[in-house]
Amino acid sequence: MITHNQPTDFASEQEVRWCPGCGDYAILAQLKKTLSDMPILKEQQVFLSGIGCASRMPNYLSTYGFRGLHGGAVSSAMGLKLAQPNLTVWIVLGDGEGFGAATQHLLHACRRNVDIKVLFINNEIRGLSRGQESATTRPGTLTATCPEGSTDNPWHPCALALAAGATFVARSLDVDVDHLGNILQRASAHKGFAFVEILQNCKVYNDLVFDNLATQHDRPEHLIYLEHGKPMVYGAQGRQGIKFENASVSIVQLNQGGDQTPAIHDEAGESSFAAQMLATLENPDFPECIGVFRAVTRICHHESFYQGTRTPSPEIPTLDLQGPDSFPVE
Amino acid sequence: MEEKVVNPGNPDLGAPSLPLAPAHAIRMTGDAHDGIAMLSHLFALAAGSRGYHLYSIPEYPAEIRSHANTLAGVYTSSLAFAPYHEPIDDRTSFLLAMNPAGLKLHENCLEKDGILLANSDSFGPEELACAGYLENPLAGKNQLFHRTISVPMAQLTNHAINLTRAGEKGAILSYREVDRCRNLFALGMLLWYYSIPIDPVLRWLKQKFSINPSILDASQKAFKAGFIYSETANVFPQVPAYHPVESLSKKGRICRMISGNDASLLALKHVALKTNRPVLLASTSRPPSHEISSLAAKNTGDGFSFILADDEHAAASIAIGVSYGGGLGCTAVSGIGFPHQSEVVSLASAAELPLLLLEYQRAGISTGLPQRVAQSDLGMALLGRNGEAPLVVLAPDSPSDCFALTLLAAKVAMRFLAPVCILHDLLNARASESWLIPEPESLPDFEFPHFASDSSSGPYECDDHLARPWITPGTPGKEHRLGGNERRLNSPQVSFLPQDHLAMNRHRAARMQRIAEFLGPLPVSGDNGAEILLLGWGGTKNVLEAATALARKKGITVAFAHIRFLNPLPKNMQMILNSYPKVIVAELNSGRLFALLKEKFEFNGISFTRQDGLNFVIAQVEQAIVQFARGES
Repeated sequence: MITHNQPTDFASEQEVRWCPGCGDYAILAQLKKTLSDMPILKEQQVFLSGIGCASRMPNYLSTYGFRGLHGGAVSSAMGLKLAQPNLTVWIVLGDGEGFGAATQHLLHACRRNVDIKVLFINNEIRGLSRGQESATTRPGTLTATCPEGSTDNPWHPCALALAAGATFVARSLDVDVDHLGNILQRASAHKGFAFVEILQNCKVYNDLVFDNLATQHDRPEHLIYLEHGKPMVYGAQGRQGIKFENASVSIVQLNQGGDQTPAIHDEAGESSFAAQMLATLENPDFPECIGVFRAVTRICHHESFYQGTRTPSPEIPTLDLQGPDSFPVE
Repeated sequence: MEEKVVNPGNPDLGAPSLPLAPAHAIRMTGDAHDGIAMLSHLFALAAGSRGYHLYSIPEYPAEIRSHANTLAGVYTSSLAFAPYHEPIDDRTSFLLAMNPAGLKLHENCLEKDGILLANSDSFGPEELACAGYLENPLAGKNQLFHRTISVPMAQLTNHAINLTRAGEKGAILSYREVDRCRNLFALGMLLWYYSIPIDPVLRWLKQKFSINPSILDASQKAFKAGFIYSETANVFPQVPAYHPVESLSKKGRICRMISGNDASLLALKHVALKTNRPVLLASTSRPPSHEISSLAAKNTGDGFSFILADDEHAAASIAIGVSYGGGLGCTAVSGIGFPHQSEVVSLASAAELPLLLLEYQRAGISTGLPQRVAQSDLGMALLGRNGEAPLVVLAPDSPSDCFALTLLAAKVAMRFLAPVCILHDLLNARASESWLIPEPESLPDFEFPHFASDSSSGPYECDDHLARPWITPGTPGKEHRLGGNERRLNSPQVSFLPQDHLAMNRHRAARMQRIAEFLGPLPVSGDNGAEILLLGWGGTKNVLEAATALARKKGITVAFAHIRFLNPLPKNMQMILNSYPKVIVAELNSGRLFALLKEKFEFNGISFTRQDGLNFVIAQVEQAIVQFARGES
């Protein structure tokens, strides 16, 4: 079934109201493009979110949308999939909510392989509430509630999702629109829990936090574009690569003789351990990775839920009011 | 050929117009392994077949795996039974103690002239010490009750089963197997004492143990031995005095014992069948709401399903997701889990989505006393939300009413797209009572005009019930966004304008008034022009009703009303309160309903409360009525 929609068909009647220069504009544009390319009817697409800048996304899309509680969207999406398993369900979470009120719902959805697509929009700051640190904020970041600089250790979202059992985990950049478009396509086609971390610049409260990745020119020096079955290399003409050694990652210099060979990326490895290591690599000591860390197939939550006796629709409906121990009054 | 056992004390038991025993309350107590639950269940089955209305409530051991014969391992079942349409009695006139620990915990409940039937085989020095008795309370100078009947039930059961089989190769049952039949020996004695026919029990045993003839034979022998022993050994000083009743209006109808949890579950399953929409219960393991969770998990299918969520917020969020998808999302919750769900209730109010909360009240604050009775969460249910988010609050008045009230709650939730809370207490959730099984055609249907997906209205255009159409994802051409933000009346458009907020607040309040009309007035029973009205809510109804009957015998004219709809209150509430010179509001909390009524209405009344984790005692309520009526309090 092809729907022949245009990206503009997915714009809602609402005026888009993010700050000028916000990375969310680029994400919204790529999302509309992805939706228009998907062979799924518009009424079958649902976006859920909670509270935050990124959580406004459902208001700006002309699909079904539900902006509920801070932290409640993941579990509501799970309920929605149980009520209507055929819907395509998306969730938009910022890092403040995603790793705040929604954390445990998110981790449980990973392990249960709930068939939803989570866009985890990470700008390492709480924007809507005016610039407090989140669980992804780097140490030293000046925030509204850490005027001396944040001191806490941050989480790596993709590593956490992988450890929690997500079957699809990927990372992309708001400014790398082609890559983002491809990743959204991959996520939309995944059957099961898809977690996409999108590094997004907050112009107002955490500007330039991804400066090292911002320009097209700099990216090859700092980034590995993960591709399944391909060697993990970076730098100009792929001068450097990475390999796994003694349960850690090390950098290898290529084209300098010797037998140094980079590791081959495997999205579908038996264990997610290697992917977790890749997801924690950081500049400046290591390149950072974008692309698909992991994509494996496992039975979805709604499928296993309705197996056996838990049938969603009755064939011969009967209600046994009597139970095993009823008796006539003598 | 089946051996025919007749009741020697009452040989004419089979005749249809026989007298019934008056109301009685008996308590059966013993170690967790004494089979008290089965004993109680079978007593109810037999007495129910005889035409009694029964109410039984279990009291679980304080610990899951306690040491044998300790106080922490006591399981008790309290059983009140009365002919239909007669008030129950809660004064324990018969206590069966299968071990000293059970007696220790319940020795204060037995009336001075009540009968104590004890299994003397369990009253050895070790068991007595475990229970904290220095001397044997069954006999000698420390005998507690003058009508004590000590019966060596273990020995007699063993004789009944194994001596009759002497010489039959391989037929001797082990001590353990024999021990498990002791409760049936006791049951036989109880049925003889109350002149209740034993056939229903024999039928049940036959069905239950049909695949194990050896156990079937043993259980029948133990049961009959108890029955016959009561007669031949002349153990009971006298049998109860019977008084005639006019007719058994339930004669020929099919009955069962039903717990509040059973009834709630059947209702949810009925909703799934009638609406052909998914009904899902999401809950956690928090007691006592975990009891309906376990029951629900074993009874999924036909559109009803259950999920154990990882916390209460997740449970309610899953439920609202189901409702957003066009099903009925339900959640079961208790104690401090309830405030966790407050924001989801608020969201359901704002987004106008159905949500059914089965709230199981328990005693205490914080973790408190999860296994004790209280009507502790009325305040939370009525007011526990940010802003002015209304929640419909209903409370069943008996175990079987959980069926009717859950159906009604689901109807309100789906008709008005509103969150509805059913306030349960353990007096109706965990207890069981006789239930006349309704005819399937008498059950309500769920056809509502706004179920139609081809509605031409927008997603927030209200009908005459002030309810919006339930347009769910998947409906072509109706895509819209909804959520927790304030919006413009009759539109999904988010609005932060003061006038829109005011209009929406008024709209939500007006809808509650429509719901009050839908639910109907509060009925009042009792004397016309009574001098006093007793008002209650929740699972205390049978006790309060019995108290009014006793007060009436003392010459007080009493009316009685039991509120099932707590928010919105019945439309005739003001009229009722003003119809009586004096009003007593009885509840198992600090007087929450009384405070609410006082805030809204003017009337002359007092609050009668109990807050120690136990139910009211009939005599105490009666005393309160009499004293207030006579101006003594």
